[in-house]
Amino acid sequence: MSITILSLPNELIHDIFIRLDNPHTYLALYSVCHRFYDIASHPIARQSFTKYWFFVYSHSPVPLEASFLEFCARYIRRYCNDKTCPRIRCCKERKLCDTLVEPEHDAAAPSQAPTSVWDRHCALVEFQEQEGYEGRDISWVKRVTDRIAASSPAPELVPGLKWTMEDVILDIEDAVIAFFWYRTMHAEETRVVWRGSLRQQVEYEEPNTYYQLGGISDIFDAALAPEFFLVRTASASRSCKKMELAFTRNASGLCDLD
Amino acid sequence: MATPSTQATVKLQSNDNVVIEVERAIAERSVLIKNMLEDCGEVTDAIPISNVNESILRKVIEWCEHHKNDPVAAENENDDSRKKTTDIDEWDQKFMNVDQEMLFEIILAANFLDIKPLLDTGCKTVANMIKGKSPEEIRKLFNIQNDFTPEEEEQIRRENEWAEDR
Repeated sequence: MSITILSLPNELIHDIFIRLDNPHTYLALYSVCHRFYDIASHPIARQSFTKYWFFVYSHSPVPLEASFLEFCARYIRRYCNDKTCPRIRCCKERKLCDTLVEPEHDAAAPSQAPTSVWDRHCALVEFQEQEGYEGRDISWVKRVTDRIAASSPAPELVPGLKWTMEDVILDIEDAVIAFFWYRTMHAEETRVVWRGSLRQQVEYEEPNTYYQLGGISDIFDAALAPEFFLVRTASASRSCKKMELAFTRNASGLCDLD
Repeated sequence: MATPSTQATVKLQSNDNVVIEVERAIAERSVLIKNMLEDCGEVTDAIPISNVNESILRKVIEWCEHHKNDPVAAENENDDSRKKTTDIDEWDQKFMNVDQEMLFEIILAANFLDIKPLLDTGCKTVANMIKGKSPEEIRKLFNIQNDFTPEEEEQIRRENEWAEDR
């Protein structure tokens, strides 16, 4: 009897699947055979894949960019279906600050400060305006966020309990979003090809591409409210400077939140 | 009386009854064997490795020998130094350059013997083989029968439509 991939127990096949580098290839597993479908489409497998995928990418050559990307993915998953706060731009009005809990910046936990969720949240709040996304195809944002909104209700906020962005469990849709982001951001450069490795791609990037990530929320807004998007690109370059400053400060560990 | 740590070698017996003597430190890359030795103290008899045949056992020992000085991976998931990438080091790539049957046997053995880094490398190797392939190409790669009806295929296609790259 010869041994094939189907001789492995499900948990080992799962271990192989979650190590794939591309969410589209992961989804292709669904169509291979019944057994692959059952293993890959299980929510725990999808979530492990996504977790591993983001984990690997956040250790890629541009770590800040990747972790910011992950944060944005959580952000969208959390808020795309929330009736009380349906738009990401609400964070601009500081409504979200009530639900995100600012970490205590005490001396005992210095490692938490520089790139904490709170800092990234503030960076996102600061950086809502970004030009350069006009005319790009953003229909996928609507498609994927619709899918998230339909597939999983936003996690409940329990009054009085501390809640952070880390509590949002990412799923395959979020890996797809992040994958598209990489490509949308660098549309003029190499397109990320279906079979290519994103890691390879990242190595070629300019070091400062992370500002462009601020534009993610604009893409999202544009998908939901195009008229809003059109009138709000004016002060982008000023924000860019601010963003750069914020990240430089954060990176050197001298973060102060005002 | 000798303490367990002074025992220099251990004997491992494959399921086809071949006894292989290896340095204790090398055998202890296997958490299963390590725990066994810790529980039993000195073991002079050959340890039966009932799920693994000779050729695979030798292959696994070869891997353990090469990696005997690697730091034992921290249990703690938060350890940032732990390398978690899709890269496989060059020696391991060569080591894993075997036919599929042997590759899956190594994965099964690594799982049974509880050698996490070897299991990880094996899984990554298979994942890299799948990289960028379509469902049909994956079936061909692993010689898998398509057991979906056309209706089921259509249903899955529709289910995944949201993610299509268009």
